[in-house]
Amino acid sequence: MTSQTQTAGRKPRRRFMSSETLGKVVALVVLALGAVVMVFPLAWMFSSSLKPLAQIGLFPPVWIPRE
Amino acid sequence: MANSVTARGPSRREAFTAYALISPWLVGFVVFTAGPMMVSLALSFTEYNVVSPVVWRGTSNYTNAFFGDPLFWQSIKVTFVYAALSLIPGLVVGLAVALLLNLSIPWLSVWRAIYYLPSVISGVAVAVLWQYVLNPRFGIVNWALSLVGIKGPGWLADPNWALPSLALMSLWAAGGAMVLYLAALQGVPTALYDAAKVDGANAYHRLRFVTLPMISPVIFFNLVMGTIATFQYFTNAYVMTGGGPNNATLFYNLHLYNHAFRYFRMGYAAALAWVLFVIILLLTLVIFRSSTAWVYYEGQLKAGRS
Repeated sequence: MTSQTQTAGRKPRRRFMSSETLGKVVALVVLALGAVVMVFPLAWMFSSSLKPLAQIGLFPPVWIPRE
Repeated sequence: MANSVTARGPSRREAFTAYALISPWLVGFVVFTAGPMMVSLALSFTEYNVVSPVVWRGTSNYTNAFFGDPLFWQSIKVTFVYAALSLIPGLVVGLAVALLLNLSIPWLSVWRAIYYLPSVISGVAVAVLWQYVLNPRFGIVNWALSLVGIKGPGWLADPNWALPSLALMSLWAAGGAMVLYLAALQGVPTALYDAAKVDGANAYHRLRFVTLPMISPVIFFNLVMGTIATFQYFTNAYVMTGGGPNNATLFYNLHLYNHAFRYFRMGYAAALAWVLFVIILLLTLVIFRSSTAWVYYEGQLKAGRS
């Protein structure tokens, strides 16, 4: 009880994250967005390698080849 | 050992042995590099269509390029605009990705592999792949843009967008430069960062006054190599656009190729090649001259400074 009354007057300043962790989270988000751009053409190339010619020119693109 | 090397240097016999030992390279250089270069210099003053005899034309090929060929100036313009669009953005993107990949974050090797992946595919395959990816009708770039409600441009089919398309495409292969930056970043001594922190430097100061000077030799290397490669740009333009639409992607080397192997004007093409050589030589010299102002070599002693 006494310890509660002692701390009640001062608000504990607890940050959600340190600035260093926040920086790493931002870096990860930026890297992930860039990685999507890097991987998309490669993914398309791989998926097209499994498609018959007629399915390559479809819009919207067919990602999983159909029979 | 002792009597073979005199005060006047190695004996004639030793010099002969040395030349004999390097002769595989020497013969290869003279026959396959220096020889053809001299022939091309000589051809640039002639008219030659491969089947008829060579006719001497003096400097008319050079004057014709500068004063009688509007496509020559178009190809110069295309090449310089592309260099401006791709060189500096390529350096900045490569360096930025390298800085991010130098942090201690989870799955570091996975991220590095993903960003380097496009650089391992060979030239023509990349060109054909991007022809499909940038297709205005069914390409996945315009599909991705349509998901967020943007109607994508015609990319390679649009004279205003064709050159920026190729520049954007070159960023996809920024991984090659990134690896070099990453190696340089890992060579920066951590003691310098610790010292900077003690002196109260924030993250920007550490980047500007520790990281960038320490990796400036690698930036310099990438800039020189990138400049040379950009002015020799050929494969993608040849495969993807063939110089079109409306000569919007008529790169210098493509113009040269057309004259040599489509119109069979070897003399004029050789003259164009030597003009390009001089352009690249001058640009490289300018970059080398500027390097004393911004490239820092740790092992180098500077005259006039203690």
